[in-house]
Amino acid sequence: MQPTSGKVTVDGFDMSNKKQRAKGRALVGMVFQYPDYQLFDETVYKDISFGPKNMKLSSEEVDRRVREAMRLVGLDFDEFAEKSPFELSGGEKRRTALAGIIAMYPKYLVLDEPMAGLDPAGRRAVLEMISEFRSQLGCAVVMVSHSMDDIARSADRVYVLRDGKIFRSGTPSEIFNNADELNEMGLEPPFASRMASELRRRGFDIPRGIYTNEALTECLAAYGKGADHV
Amino acid sequence: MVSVNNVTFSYENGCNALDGISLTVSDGEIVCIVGHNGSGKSTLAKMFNGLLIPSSGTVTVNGMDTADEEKTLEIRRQVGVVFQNPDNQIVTTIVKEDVAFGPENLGVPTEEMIVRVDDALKAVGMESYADSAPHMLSGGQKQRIAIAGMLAMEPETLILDEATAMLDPMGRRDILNIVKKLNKEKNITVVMITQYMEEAVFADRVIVMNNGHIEMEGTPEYVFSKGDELRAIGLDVPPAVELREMLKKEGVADCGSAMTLEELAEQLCRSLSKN
Ligand SMILES: Nc1ncnc2c1ncn2[C@@H]1O[C@H](COP(=O)(O)OP(=O)(O)OP(=O)(O)O)[C@@H](O)[C@H]1O
Ligand SMILES: [Mg+2]
Repeated sequence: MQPTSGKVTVDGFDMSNKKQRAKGRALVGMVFQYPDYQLFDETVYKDISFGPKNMKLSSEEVDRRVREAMRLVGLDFDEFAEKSPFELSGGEKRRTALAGIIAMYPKYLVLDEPMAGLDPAGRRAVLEMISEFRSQLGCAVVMVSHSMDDIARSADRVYVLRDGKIFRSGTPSEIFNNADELNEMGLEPPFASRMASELRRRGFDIPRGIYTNEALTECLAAYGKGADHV
Repeated sequence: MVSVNNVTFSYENGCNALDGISLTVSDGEIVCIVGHNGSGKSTLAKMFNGLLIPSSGTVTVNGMDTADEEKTLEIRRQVGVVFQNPDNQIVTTIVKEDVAFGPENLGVPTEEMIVRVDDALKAVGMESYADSAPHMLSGGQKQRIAIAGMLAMEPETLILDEATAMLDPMGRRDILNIVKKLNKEKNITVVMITQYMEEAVFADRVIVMNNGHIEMEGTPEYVFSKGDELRAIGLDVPPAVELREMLKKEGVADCGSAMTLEELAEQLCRSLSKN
């Protein structure tokens, strides 16, 4: 898709220029919201190996990457490799689509609502996959998500879009500080920051900038002890 | 009433998706089904209205066997299913025609149809969109239209197979509130499949599936007190319970069986001001 105005570049490649676009695209791996439109091959194995194969990697390397990708998204190799992607449950399809992209080792991994339909263990696996990928390959991850809890757990930087404009940007703690504003926009701040606001509303003195259970628990522990001395 | 009696099901490729399931859903109940990816939830949902027929065992809807082809239409009228992807469920280009699609096929007369479509759209808060084009609506609005389409069939039971999975938090909340309201005001029986544990909290009963069988079943209080068992099979507890577990483990506060943000805040107030 091309912008109506403005310019998108990937590592300097101008995405509106046909020749440069191909080079830019090779650096970006995208997983779309609806996995049904992304799966096409006869077996899960062939589907996931399609990308790496096209990159002219050796068959050993392709095989290694397919196995690794399946492990990272939590798909058991023996159980799923030879299955047809069209005979999978919803969450298994999404895991397959994710594996197909990460097997290409993209420099930029773009995930559009990657968690939809995943079970809680699958959501944890994807968060771990993201951090493993970043530390091993140094790839950058752009995640589009409605789940502020997932963002709180994984992001360095957050952009909040509103009516097609960047409305806010900052670190998670800067963004989640303003829980009321997010609420107004129909976004749900992480559970811990909503809880912190609720407790503040009920007269507890909870500092701002808390958005994880760990931080909130620590704060409440101090609170309990403080009250003991009174 | 829907009863599932010792049902097994294998897909053509030999995959045993259901492995001896028995359960009964009573009239007016809200039942929530949770389970890991591939545990058999969608397969079970398709059993409820005869989209799939058991390999062995039986499924009956108010006494009608889903394997009896003569009953298929009546069963489909009584049990409506809403799926995950809002785009795949829209069949026409105008909202009210979409809602009328099901009952039209049942031969409902025009005058009654107009009333039904009206009522159904009102029940989901979409009456002002009757003449809109469905593809212009948000995902949450499309799901409301899909629910309205089911309501126009005047079903007794509504099955929602991850109907909120693609929606933003506000869209999810909307659909949940509509479902609760339909249950309360129209006494519609609800079977809801979800990966969001916090959505299971308001159910009368939670059924936990694991590898094609029922692993655990009970009130939300009971099921979500089994955090370790749930995590061992790929699931989790709702966020309020997660924080509750942590507060207890760290010796900060014992918040009983609180399962929602409000309940937990309430309990915390009590327990911390007691100290
Ligand atoms: N059309 C099909 N053909 C063959 N096997 C299938 C088909 N659909 C699903 N399966 C298999 O049946 C099992 C149960 O699938 P089902 O779709 O019922 O799971 P689910 O609990 O709904 O999972 P999810 O949470 O991912 O939606 C899975 O192992 C899946 O791979
Ligand atoms: Mg499913």
